[in-house]
Amino acid sequence: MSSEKLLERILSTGVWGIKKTDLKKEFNLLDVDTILEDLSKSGNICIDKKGASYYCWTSEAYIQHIVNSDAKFRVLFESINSLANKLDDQTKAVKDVLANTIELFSDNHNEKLNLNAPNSNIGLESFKIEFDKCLTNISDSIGWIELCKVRSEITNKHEMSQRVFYDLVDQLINKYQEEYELSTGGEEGIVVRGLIHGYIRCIQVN
Amino acid sequence: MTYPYGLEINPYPSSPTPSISDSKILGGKTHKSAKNAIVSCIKDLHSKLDKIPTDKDFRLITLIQDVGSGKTHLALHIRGLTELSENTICSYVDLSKVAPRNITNLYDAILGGFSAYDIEKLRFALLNIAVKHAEKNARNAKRLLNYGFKDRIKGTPILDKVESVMKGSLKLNYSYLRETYSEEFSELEIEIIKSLIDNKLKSDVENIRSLEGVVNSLSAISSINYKILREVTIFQFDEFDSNEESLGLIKAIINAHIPSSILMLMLTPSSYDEIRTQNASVFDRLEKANYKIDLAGSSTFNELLDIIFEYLRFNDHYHMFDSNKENDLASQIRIIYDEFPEFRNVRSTLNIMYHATEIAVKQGSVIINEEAIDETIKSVYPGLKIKGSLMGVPLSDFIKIRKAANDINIIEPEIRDAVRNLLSCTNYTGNVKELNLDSRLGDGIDVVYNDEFGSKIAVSVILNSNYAAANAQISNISKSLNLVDKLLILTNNNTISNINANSSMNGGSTLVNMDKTKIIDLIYFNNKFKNQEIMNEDLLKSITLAKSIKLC
Repeated sequence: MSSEKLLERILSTGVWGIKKTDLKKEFNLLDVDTILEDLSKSGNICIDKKGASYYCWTSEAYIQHIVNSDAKFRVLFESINSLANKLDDQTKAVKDVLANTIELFSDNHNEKLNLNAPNSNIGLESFKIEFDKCLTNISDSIGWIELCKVRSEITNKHEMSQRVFYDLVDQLINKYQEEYELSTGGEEGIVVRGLIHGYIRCIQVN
Repeated sequence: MTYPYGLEINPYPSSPTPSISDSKILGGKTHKSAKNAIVSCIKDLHSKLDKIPTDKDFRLITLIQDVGSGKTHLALHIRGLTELSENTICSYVDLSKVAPRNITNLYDAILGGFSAYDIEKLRFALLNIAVKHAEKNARNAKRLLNYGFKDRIKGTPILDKVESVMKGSLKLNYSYLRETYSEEFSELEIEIIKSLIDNKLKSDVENIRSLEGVVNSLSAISSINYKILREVTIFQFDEFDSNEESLGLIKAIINAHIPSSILMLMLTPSSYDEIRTQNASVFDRLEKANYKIDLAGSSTFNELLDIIFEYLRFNDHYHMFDSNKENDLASQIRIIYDEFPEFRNVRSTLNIMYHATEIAVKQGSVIINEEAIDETIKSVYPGLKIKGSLMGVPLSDFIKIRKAANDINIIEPEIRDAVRNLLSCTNYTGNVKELNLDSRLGDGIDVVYNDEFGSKIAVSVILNSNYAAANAQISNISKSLNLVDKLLILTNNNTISNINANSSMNGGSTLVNMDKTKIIDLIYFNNKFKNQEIMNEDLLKSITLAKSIKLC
């Protein structure tokens, strides 16, 4: 309690500080020397000579006192501050980059797991245009086409793996349910109800 | 027992493949159009037949569609149509049942494919010919019918003999068969007439030695039918495939152009494709079919819905299935259709409806509700899960929430609440820190917290289908970025697609698109959270959900 009272008193004097002798007069019932030595050792206060007397400051107030009174220290202090700010900025930037990288890895991981966004440079809408064009070109009298023929046609034009192709077909069929229909059979295709659906056609719904 | 909508029976078929009785009901615009096309083909041929049909009077119809799309149902429906019962006789052959596929078995299946009604019709007409001859005092006909001296004395009408033969209580005197029918029928036809009258048509199989023999016999049956009934003979072959024997038979029938007959083939696109590679000659003939019946769109939502409703309407004698109930059921079926690609075909949908109807009865429900459908999916398809749902939302809850989730304005406050509660949950598990739920943090900011790296993150929920409004909201919220390290905007599908194209977002912002499944997951989580029902397993799922929308 006694050290707290002393600390509060020192704190109240701000950048001016307080004379050690004044403290002894004010707190004459306390062992001021011992308490001040403990506070100094713990880094809460600084004791230094100002003029002919010894003064006490809190650490922050002492730094401000030196900055005000010592030109060399002020220059040094400002340089250190600027360096610290730069370091802070850079740390923050590194933290952001790290967070983004983690996010990116997480996205890629999810894509691999969910197969929601195939790793292809062709968007779903562009794929639809290509796909529909293929269905029109390959189409026979009954309209049903083997998906592997469409795949061969599209993957020849665009760099795309078989898996990515079928991921896109799956998305396309789910998004435009009323435009396409699938049929079982074929060597490759989309698995529905455990059956390979390797035939497709556009539905001309009136 | 009363079924939902006051029905006296479960209207849906329970068998995995359609039976003749199931096929009485035909729903769906596409299926009805296909039926009309086939009926029109039959009537057209019938109207063009002269006294002696020629090889011009033959038609080929193909029906190519996927398994479970209603081909068999349509074929059986055609076979049972009252409007065609006076125009046609029909043999339905399911080729999948014919094994081994040889000439004898195929012919046996064709003869067995005629309905008892058609056979009776032919027998009766044939016996009537004998009666007419007998009435004109033809001795051979009278002897054939065993109409003797005693009958004349008693004054027994000759027609009574027909009744006795039909009942099986009188045997004909076959020694006089040839003489009785030789004026109108050929030798081969008389052989078939004998087995027909004797009600042993299938016994003709024993006489078959070659493919030519089969075709000749089929021609004879068609000819007899036309001569005595003036009807068209339809040969339906279901599950037609690239089997060599089947292809040989079909090719022979097509080549023979059996007069006054229609050959109807039901096959899948893959079988059609296999025939293309295996037998170019048959494929070429199929390509030139008179009618290629198209069931395009047989598995679209509207088609399936109409089929489902047709069963209910057909049995709704008390008119309890009104438009409100139609809409309610339609919205539930829509969800099943959207969420489970497995059920996007007639057969699977009808199977669900059959079980859901039974379960609704057990639950004492007067309608087919979401609980009945949920229970059906759980019991009949135990392995099925809602696609993309991280919270494992039961189908019944999913249906209820999705119905309510259509209006973004209503669900936006709920999603905000859900995000706050989800963060409270993840704060509890230590995945996020220093959670601040104070809503006065900034305009549009819903919650602020620190992630595991110590970055300060602000979350804003923007659900808006209007691009301009969403963009304005996002611009406003982006101003808050200087207060935090990262701004996380949770938005819905429409917004993100628009914003991506016109984005002017700062680097520290992250847009997370929440699809409808995520939104439903959040609402489901929130309901459980508010009811204090989040258990250990749910907690893990909640963290996964939070991670999926980048909250932690």
